Amino acid sequence: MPEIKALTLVARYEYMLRVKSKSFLGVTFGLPLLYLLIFGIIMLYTGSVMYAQIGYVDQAHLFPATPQMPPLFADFPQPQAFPDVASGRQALEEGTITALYVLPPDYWQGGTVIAYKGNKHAIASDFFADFIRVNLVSSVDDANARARLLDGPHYVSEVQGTDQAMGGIHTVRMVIALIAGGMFYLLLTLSGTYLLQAVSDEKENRTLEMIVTSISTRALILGKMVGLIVLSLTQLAIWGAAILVGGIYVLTSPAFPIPITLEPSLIPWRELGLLTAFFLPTFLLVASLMVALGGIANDQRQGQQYSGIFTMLFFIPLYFIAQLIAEPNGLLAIGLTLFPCTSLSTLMIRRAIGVVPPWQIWLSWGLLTGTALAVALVTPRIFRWGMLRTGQGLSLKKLRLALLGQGGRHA
Amino acid sequence: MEPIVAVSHLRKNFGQVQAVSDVSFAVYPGEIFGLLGPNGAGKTTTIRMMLDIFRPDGGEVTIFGGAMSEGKKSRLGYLPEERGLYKNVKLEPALLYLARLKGLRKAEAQHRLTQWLHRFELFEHRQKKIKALSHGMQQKAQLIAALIHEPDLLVIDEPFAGLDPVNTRLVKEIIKEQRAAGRAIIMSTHQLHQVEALCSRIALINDGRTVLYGEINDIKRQFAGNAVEVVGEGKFSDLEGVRSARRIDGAWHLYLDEHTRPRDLLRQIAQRDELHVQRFEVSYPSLDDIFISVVSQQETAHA
Repeated sequence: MPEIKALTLVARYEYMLRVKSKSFLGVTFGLPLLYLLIFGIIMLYTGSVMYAQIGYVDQAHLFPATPQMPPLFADFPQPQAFPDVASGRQALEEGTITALYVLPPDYWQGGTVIAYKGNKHAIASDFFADFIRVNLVSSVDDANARARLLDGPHYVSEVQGTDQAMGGIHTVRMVIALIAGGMFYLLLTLSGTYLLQAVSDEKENRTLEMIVTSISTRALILGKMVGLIVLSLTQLAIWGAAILVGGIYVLTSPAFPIPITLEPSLIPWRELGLLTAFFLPTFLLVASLMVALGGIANDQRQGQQYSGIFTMLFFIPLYFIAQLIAEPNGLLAIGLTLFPCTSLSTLMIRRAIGVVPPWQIWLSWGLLTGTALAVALVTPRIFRWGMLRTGQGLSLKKLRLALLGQGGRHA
Repeated sequence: MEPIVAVSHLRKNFGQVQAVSDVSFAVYPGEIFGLLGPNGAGKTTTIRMMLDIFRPDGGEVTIFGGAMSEGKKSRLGYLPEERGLYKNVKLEPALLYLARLKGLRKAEAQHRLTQWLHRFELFEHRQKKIKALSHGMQQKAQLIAALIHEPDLLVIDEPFAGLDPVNTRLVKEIIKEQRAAGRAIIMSTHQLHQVEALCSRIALINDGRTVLYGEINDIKRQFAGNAVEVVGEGKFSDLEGVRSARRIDGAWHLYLDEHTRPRDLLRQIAQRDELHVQRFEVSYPSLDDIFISVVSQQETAHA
């Protein structure tokens, strides 16, 4: 049978076998539902906090008779003014307000505000700070000066060693990029598990022997990888659609605190493109490693033990996230960007908080792609060598012989 | 006639362990060939080298007139000894997949599969997961996978394992049909009476070597001089020169060592009053006897 036909048969079989499995359906549809549930609960809680009535006592005579509302919180209830602390605290105790802020007479000197708070207060403080700021600057005549006082400075960071500058990146774009990054990561882990299972299952039940006397090992391995990549893309499409629909619904909902106008410019094309460019070789690397591990392991349990060690490599940036944020262009950050197993996530973290010099991006991508291709090339050898040595111990010497093509079967 | 498969001086080591040291045989179209040997003799390793699953350390395999290639794989049918299909998959789709990997078109694979499922009385179970089937049913399912594409060479490792007498008879019939269709069948089994019933030629592998090879009748003739069948009263097993003795249907089956002839034994019996003979004849040994004799002889030599 032509190899391409065999590959297609294996890919289709693997896809159909797993796309209908309970575990796949559970993860694919259960995860968005779980996120929706968590997000819904957060929104409900946050909404109730945000729209809570607050009060204040202005002993510093800061606010005009009709105070202005901050534009960002325009939908919030107008804070209620109390003539004295006693009446304000009584309202707090009665629950008609959730927080009381007192501007003492010496506010102008020290800037201290005394807060009397109920249970729901965290975001109310941010709101009241903005409320003070807006009314403070309302007396300034110059519109530009007012805007500068309210908005604060816009930083543009010139990064040493690059002609790029970071500035004006929209927070929403970065949030979307980070969500996409997280989603890709989850996908990598799940598809790695599928691949490991697909290989170790057949090895464990000896179906492999029947299959390799029907088609080539290469068609088998590549077929499995293609099938599971398409499976992962199906999962990604479903999650993407869920996020898109859910995201549009939430962002345009009147309950969402920040008014957003949805437009194509909000989509972080550059980030998504970079993510895809790094995701594909990372996926190939993970897939090849999992197939090789499935071939080496005697059974699924052993395979999972081996894969656990390798998976940890991919999560290293998460263990060092504090250092990466503190020094996004430090030695550790550069090292992890260039190391193939960690380049994807390190790069996403670094780009979320700063600028990564292009030479590092290119070098990192080159190293990642080269390693992924090299591992993919030696994987069939390891797989062939390992597939029939059920029950035998693993040693570095045997592995070396397999890599040299001397330990198993014909190529 | 050109052999379908020929192995010549095959050798395979696994680390320090020599699994196969010198195995040679050839199998021709239209014959059922028995590949025999005790556990750990190297039969399965030989089969795996023959099918290009393992690479031999030495020796040569010729299959369909040359080295193994991808194109020849669709002419092979293989039932491995340590069997097990996809446990969590339904029977019919699993077998369809395996049939299609052998190059059958979907419609043809479906048509043939339906026929085989009916023949093996598995049709009612086709939508069951394989793990829900009995051991015997799984064995029959694997046989279908090995047979469905009508291979020119069928390699079956312990084909009767887990089968009841009715299904054993059915499988024997099918194996004979395959032979009648001109296909070559290599059967590896410990059930030597089945080998006697089905095979024309055998190779006995022991300790990684071919120790017996040829027509079953020739081999039996070769060992005939050293076996006698005695019907009578008394204990015949402790006679001098008897290597092994078994009582089958009231008759003593005595296998003699290489220094003892049947007439020597008869002379001994005549001299012992406690032994009364009703019938004494030189017999062909069964494959069981030959197997035990050859293997134990080698064990003694090694010791």
